This record gives sequence, structure tokens and C-alpha cells, in this order.
Amino acid sequence: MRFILVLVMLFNICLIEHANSETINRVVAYVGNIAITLDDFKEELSKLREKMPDIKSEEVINILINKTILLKKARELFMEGRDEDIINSYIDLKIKSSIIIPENQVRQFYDENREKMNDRPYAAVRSEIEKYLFERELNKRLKEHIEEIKKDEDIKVIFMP
Amino acid sequence: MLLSFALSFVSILILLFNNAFADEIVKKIEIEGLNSISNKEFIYLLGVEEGKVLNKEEINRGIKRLFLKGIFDDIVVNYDNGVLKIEVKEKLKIKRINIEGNEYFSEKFYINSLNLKTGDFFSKVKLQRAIANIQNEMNKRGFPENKISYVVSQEGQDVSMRILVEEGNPLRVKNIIWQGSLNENIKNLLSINQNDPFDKVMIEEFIKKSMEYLEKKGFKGSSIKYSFEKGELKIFIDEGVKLEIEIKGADSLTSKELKDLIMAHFKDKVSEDIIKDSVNNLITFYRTKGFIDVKISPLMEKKGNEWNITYIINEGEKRIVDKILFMGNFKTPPEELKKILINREGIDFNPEELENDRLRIEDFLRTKGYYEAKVSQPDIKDRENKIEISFNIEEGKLLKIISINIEVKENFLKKEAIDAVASFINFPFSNSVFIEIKRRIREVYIKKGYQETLVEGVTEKTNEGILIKITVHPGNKKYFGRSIILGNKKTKTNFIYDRLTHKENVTFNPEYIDKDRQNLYKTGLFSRVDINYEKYDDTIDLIYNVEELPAGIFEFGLGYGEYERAKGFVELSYINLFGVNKQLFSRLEISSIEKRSYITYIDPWLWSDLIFKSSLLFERTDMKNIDTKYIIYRIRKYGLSGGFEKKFFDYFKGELLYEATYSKIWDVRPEVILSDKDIGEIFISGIKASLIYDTRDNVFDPTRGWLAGVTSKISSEALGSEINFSKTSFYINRYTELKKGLVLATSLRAGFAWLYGNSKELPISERYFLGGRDTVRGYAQNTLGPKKDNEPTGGNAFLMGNLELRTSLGKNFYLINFLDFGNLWQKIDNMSITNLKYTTGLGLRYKTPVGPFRIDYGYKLNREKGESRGEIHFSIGHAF
Repeated sequence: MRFILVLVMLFNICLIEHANSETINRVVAYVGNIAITLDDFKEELSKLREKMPDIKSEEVINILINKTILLKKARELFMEGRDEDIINSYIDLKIKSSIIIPENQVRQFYDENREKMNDRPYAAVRSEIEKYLFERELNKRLKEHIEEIKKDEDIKVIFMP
Repeated sequence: MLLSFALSFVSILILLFNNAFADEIVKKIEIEGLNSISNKEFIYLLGVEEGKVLNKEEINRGIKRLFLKGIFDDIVVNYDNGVLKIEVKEKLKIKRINIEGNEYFSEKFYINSLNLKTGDFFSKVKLQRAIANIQNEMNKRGFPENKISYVVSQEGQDVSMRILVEEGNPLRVKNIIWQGSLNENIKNLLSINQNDPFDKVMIEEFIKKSMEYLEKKGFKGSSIKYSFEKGELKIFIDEGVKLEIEIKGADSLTSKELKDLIMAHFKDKVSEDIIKDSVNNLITFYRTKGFIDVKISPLMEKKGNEWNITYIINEGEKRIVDKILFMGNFKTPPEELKKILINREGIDFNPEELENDRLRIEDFLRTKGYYEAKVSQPDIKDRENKIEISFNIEEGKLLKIISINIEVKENFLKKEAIDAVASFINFPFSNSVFIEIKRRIREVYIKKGYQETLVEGVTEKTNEGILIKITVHPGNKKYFGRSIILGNKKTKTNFIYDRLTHKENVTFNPEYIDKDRQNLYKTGLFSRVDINYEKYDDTIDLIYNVEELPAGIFEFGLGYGEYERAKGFVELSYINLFGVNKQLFSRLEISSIEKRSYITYIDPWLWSDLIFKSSLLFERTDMKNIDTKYIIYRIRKYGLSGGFEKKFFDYFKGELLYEATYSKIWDVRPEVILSDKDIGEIFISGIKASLIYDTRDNVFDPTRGWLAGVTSKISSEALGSEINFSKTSFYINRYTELKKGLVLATSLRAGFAWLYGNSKELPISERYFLGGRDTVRGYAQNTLGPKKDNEPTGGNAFLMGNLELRTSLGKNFYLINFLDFGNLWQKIDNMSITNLKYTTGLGLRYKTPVGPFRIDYGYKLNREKGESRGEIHFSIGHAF
């Protein structure tokens, strides 16, 4: 018991020490000349944890890097506005605008997954399937696009919180 | 145990206390590992300051600002009991690049392909990309087995790179097989021989040259393909079609003009469809020239790959626009409307532009306030090839703006916005006026810091006119944040900061940014200044990205003048000493009669816009009489000057200089000696003041503007001078472009010198001389004015004027007619306006970027006995 209490005391003293010499902020990663800071990381983490409580630090940093790259590319195209809006406009321009889901692909998906859709008629689920296929294609192409532009960027993760 | 509890309790209390008083003050800032920029710049960009509250949000922005500099690899900001400890890790720099193991390709090839150089920041990604580039280049050049690796070793903040090359065995060309159209000239263009590596770059180069050759020989639709397999290079050449074009029946337009039009169609291939297109294009072209009945038939003759196409043209009669009439209800004067049309009275009728002309009238009337103007399709009457065009116009009502109503929350800046557009009330309405009103209102808010102001507007038409309703959303007020300077390598960052006019935390106003840009360009150090914004909720950081120009210039030249004979100069200047725009200019001029060298130091930013100037001069001149070739005197002069220049406006400046000269004069012809100071050594020390007004459009070759100035110099024993005198001279030059290619240039110049105290005569080195290429051109250099035994003595006063008519002859040549007049007098009292010498003459100029080369012949109008009829002068630059 005495040993545990001493440990508690020591922990508290360390805590005081830590509180007095805190890292206020630092670079956790960078994309070219754009720094991603610890504050950026914390802000993003708190937003993401609301939806994904188990998200890992690596994943958060990767998301921040991807956002930074997309923002950088969008600004190179002279897009202006809030960061989120710019990224969305860039994705619309570069990826969404070139995605077309042909009718036969929708039909094929319907035929292959008819049972999962409780044999609902084609006309009733058509737009739902199209939306799903569109989102699936968008995610695939966005991933490919980010990987492609990453090749030309100087990206480094400095510190993993 | 109690003690442990107590300690825990106390420590938790301390923690809570620390958190409760979060407004911590930065007492001290310590930075570790910073080399590339100053601590001052680092702290400024980080947004911290000793003695100020620790602002974590500002530090977050600051880290991002610092990273934009492109020199950091890591920044960690720690806070310990009031001390801000910053650990910085800078990017490594490339110190050395060694290429090892290369045999076939030179080291230069690898260095160029790497696209990295010593002094660059090291980046592993960039290196890997560069290695991939090399491998790709080597694959193209026939070395597919290549292996490139690298070893990077770190020495402090530097890295050395070893690029280890294994080129491997190349693919070799064992045999070259030519297929298709065989042409020896084309074969000779291939620089690959048997046993050479299979170099795709060289083959692509060969294809390019061959295609150019075939194009030049009149072949269209040519193609060259190649394949490579098992050492066999097969090249297939398809020459395409050799096209001959003949034009028949074109009387009004030149065959060349028509052939150029036709050939533009056959760039890549020849086909019957393209021939049809070319015919249609020719017909349109003819119609724009008034030949509206033109008929064109192509006749084609094929012999193998040779196609002869004859365009048989029946031009028909040419139509000229005789009259343009405007019918209907309109008030705008017809003459105003006629000016905006392509079809005009007296010129070729162009039916292709009729619809555009109709739209032009509508647009024009709308911009004048006739917002509902309608112009119907024109009526065309053809009377014996004379065309009458009638436009029917319904001008409608002139719509004027009767009110501009501005809505903005809490009437913020409403009065200022209303004042800014008050002049538009009763102004004719048009879309462009509407846009201008919105722009002016937005400008009011932007100048007050509301950079994101949105201005929306609607219009309402009433019987009385147009009502404009504007809604303004000013958004947040913005202030200037911090400025980040990027791209400067030689120029000091602090120097750039000093040129910026805006201050931090002051209301954001784009006018300051324009001034900043102008100030930076004014230094002459930058070829490009980009200014980008990084916006936050309340502030805007400015990112200045500059591109530097070379600061040093070396120039030399050779020339010939009728007075100096052969002459040459060498000039060396550097305008960015110590990275703060201090300037050094040096020049050496040598001719058969003169050696002159000077070195000038200028500090353009001494204090505010006051410029400091100082010069050292050495001169050695043999003053000759160009007619008799006698030496009038020889002089060696050492000079020193220093003083200030101030620009009052862009076109008006003043100078105040101290000047001291030590001269030694010898071999003086007895005829020109006026006092004992004309021979031997003399020291002159004085103050010179000048005012210069210059509005010329081009310094070297002005066509418009004024150049005027007055200079006064006072030399006194009080300043250590051996002579007491004062001199004043002035000049007024005016340049007027009478019409394009014709410039009238006039000039009036005069100078006077007074002596005072014990001084009785001006020394020869300070006397005025007149005559020659830049003054009165009928006389040889320095030969006008008082003479003793036919030798010019110089004088204390002169008056002269010039009148030049500069006529362009085309191709950079100009013809000059001039009239010069003037004279020189020994004393001011002798001056007489009736005693002027007049010369006239002709000159030829050839325009170059540094001013025109010129040759002038001046003819004396009041020649005296024994004088030549005139003089020829060669030189560079205008006479004035």
C-alpha cells in the first residue's frame, strides 16, 4: 500500500513537471512546404472520434496528408473559399465530372444482387444502385488520384502522437 | 502515508492552478538549431514576442508560416516556466554529387538528368524521382539493363550523394533496313550507325528532321515509323503526297495569298474532303473582299504520289458598299453608328460581317442606355455592283438610373457607398454601368478592410427609369497579418521587409499591396513579385514570392567617332551589394584622344527616398583641333564627388553634390592661354545643384515628353578651390509625335559662368566649348566660338538650339532633317543674339535597343571665309 502511494506521489510530481514543460505545438508531418501540426492533428482527431471512436493516429495523419494534398492541388487551380469547399470543388472537377455509370452496369449489379434487394423491381432500386456504384467508383478513383499525386510530393511524417 | 496524500493533493492543486491561469507570459525565447534565417525573422513569423501573452493559435499559424520558407524539416515548440524553447531541424543541403561507374554517358549527362545541384535542399523523394528520370532516359537511349543506386552520407547539415551507375549492355543496332520511299537525303539525316546503341532519342530527332525536310519539299501527309527487333532497326518512310497548287482566274487577289490559305488546310494529309473545305474557305475569303458571286472549281490530276490541284476561279463582279442607311426610330447620330461597323461606305462589301454589324449596333445602343434597342436584319440592295445596306432600328426609350438603393446591416458605411456611386444617378443604364456600380460599392468596403465583401444587385424598370437595389454583405473586417518573404537568395529578407508599406494589425487595404509590389520592382532586383494571401478569421498574411534578376552586368563595346576615331568601353556594375540594393557602377572608356574611368557608388535607400551618390573619376584627354589636328591642350584630371539625390515625383528630381577636381594641364597652345591658370596644376572644389524634369516616353529614343533641367555650380576659395566662379546651365528639350513615324524634337540650351573675388579668368578645363555632333553640327567638335590664331579658346557663355524632324523610313531606319544654331562667347557681356551661327543638314539613324546609330551631315548657313562647307558626324544616340 505504502509502495503504491509513493508511486502515486511520484506520478503526480512527474505530472507537475510535465505540466511545466509542455510541448505547445510541433510539426507532425509535412507535404512539401505545408506543415501539419499537432494542433491540426488534435482538432481532426476530436472530429473523427465522434464518428469513429477507434480511429488510430496513423489514420488521422493519413487523412490530414490527403486533405493537404487535395487542398494544395485545388489552390494551384486558383480555387478560392473555405478549405472543405475547395476540396469538394476539386473532387467535383477532377474526379466526379468524369464518372459515368452505364445502364448495363446498373442492370448487371441488379441481376447479381437481386436476392439481397428482396426481389424489388429494377425501376424501384435503379437510382439507389446507381448512387451506390457512383460512390464506389468515386472512392476508388479518389484513392488512385491521391496515390498518383502523392508520387510527386515530398511527404514526411515526423512525429506520431 | 499522510505525507503521500498531502503531496498528491498539493500537486493536483498546482496542476489546477496552472490550468486556471492559462494566460502565460513569454519571458524568454530560446531557439536551437536555426542557421538559415535570423532569429528575428523566425520569431516574427512564429508570432511570438518576449513579454507578450503566449498565444497557441498564433503559434500554430506561425509554424505553418515558417514551413512555407521551405527550409525546415521539423519545429517543436516547448514551454517551460515562461521560457519558450524552440527546437528547429533544418533540411539538409546537398554539398556534393559524385557520379561513379559511368562509361558510355558523361558525368554531365547524369548531372543534367538528375535535375539536382549542390546547394539544393536534400529530399529523398526528389532524389528517387531523379533516379527514376535517369533510368527512364537511359532506357530511351538503349540501355535497358541499367541499374542506378545511391549512397547518401550526412556531414552535419550537409549531405554528400554518390550516384552509383551500372550502365549494363546496350541494345545494339546490328542492321538498318529502310522500307517505303527511299530517299538518300533522308537516310543521311540518321546519325545512328551499325553497332551503335539503339537510341530512341536520336531516332525521334531523325524523324523530326526528316518530316521537316519532306514538308520543305512540298510533301503532305508524310509519315515515318520504325521498329526494333533482335538488333534489326526497320525504318518505314511514307513520303505522302507531293502537292502542287495552281491558281487560275485570280485577278484581284495574289496567287501567293490564296496558296497560303489553301496550304493551311493540307497540314497533315491530303484528301478530297479537305480539298472541298479549302474551296469553301476560299469562297468565304473572296466574299469578305466583296466578290459575293465568286465560283471556284478544283481540278485534280494525280500521277503516283504527285497531286496537282488547279483552282479555277471565276471572281465575278466586286461589290462596294455605296450607302449605309439607318431607318426607324432612333436619336443616335448615324455617323456615330457608322463608325462601329465593319461594312463601311466606299470599301469592299463583306456579307460575312452583316449579322455581326447588326449586333454591334444593338450592343452599342445598349451601352448608351437604350437598353431595349432592337435592330432588324439589314435590307440589301445591289445597284450595278454598288451595295446599299439599310438597318431598321427601334431604339426604344433611353433608360436612366433614377435611384440606387443600398441595403447593408446597420447602415454600415452606407453613406460612403452612396457617395461613391452618386454620379451614376441620371446616367444611362447598361449592364457595364451596373457592374461598375457594384464594383465601386465593393471598393468602398474593401478599402476599409472588408476584403470578403459580397455585393448583390437587382434592377427594376419603371416608367421613370431604372431602380437599382444593392445588398452588401461586408463579412468580417480583416487586418494585415504577417508577411512571409520567399524566393530571395541574394537579397536580404530585412531589406525586403523595409520596402513594404503596410503595417501589421492595420486595416487591410489592397492599395498598400500594390505599393509594396511597385516598391519591390523599383529596386531593379526582381523579375517577378507574386503576392498571395493566407486568410484567417481576422487577419490576412501576405506571402511575397520573388524571383531575382542577375544583379551584376558586364558590358563592352567598340565604336568609331569622327573626333575620337576608334573607341571602346568596358562597363561592370552590380546593384545588390550586401544584399541591400546598394549599387556600384564602373566604366572605362578609351579612345585615341581620351582615357576615362569612373566608379560610382549609390545607396538608393539611404533614408526614406533620399539617394546617396558618390564617384571617383580619372580622365586623361588630349584636346585636339579636329581641322588642324593640333593638340590644343592635354589634361589629366582626378575627380571626387558625393551628395544626394531626391525624387520629388516620378518625373522630377533634384541633386546636391560636392565636387572636387585636381587637374594638370600641359602642352597648351599659346594661342588659347587666357590666364596663368590655363597651364599647370589646379584644384577646383565646389557645390553643384541640379533640378531635372523628365517625362520622356523612352530615354534612348523619345517620341513624346519633356526633358528639362537646370544646373548651378559654385566654386569658392572657402571650399579650398583655387578659383572663385559660379556656372549655371539649363536645357529644355521637347519631343512631339506629329503623327505615327514623325517626331518633332526641339531643344534650347545655354550656359553662363561668372567669376568673383580675385579670379579673373575661368580655367580652360571649366570653359564651355561648342560645335560638333551633339551641338551645332555644321562645325567640327569644339571649334565654334572665339578663336586665337584659328585655335578655339572656349568661352564663359553659350546659347544654342536645335530643331529636328525624325521621319521613320521603316525597318528601323529614320531620316533626320535638322536646323542647329548657337554660338559661344568669351564673356557674358559679349553675348549677342544677333551673332548666332546657323547650320542645317540631314542625318540617317538605325534604331537599336541602346539608341540609334547615326550619321549626320551639317551644312553651315553663314559660313565665314576659310571655313569648311560642313561636317560629317558618326555616333550612337540622338543629338539631344
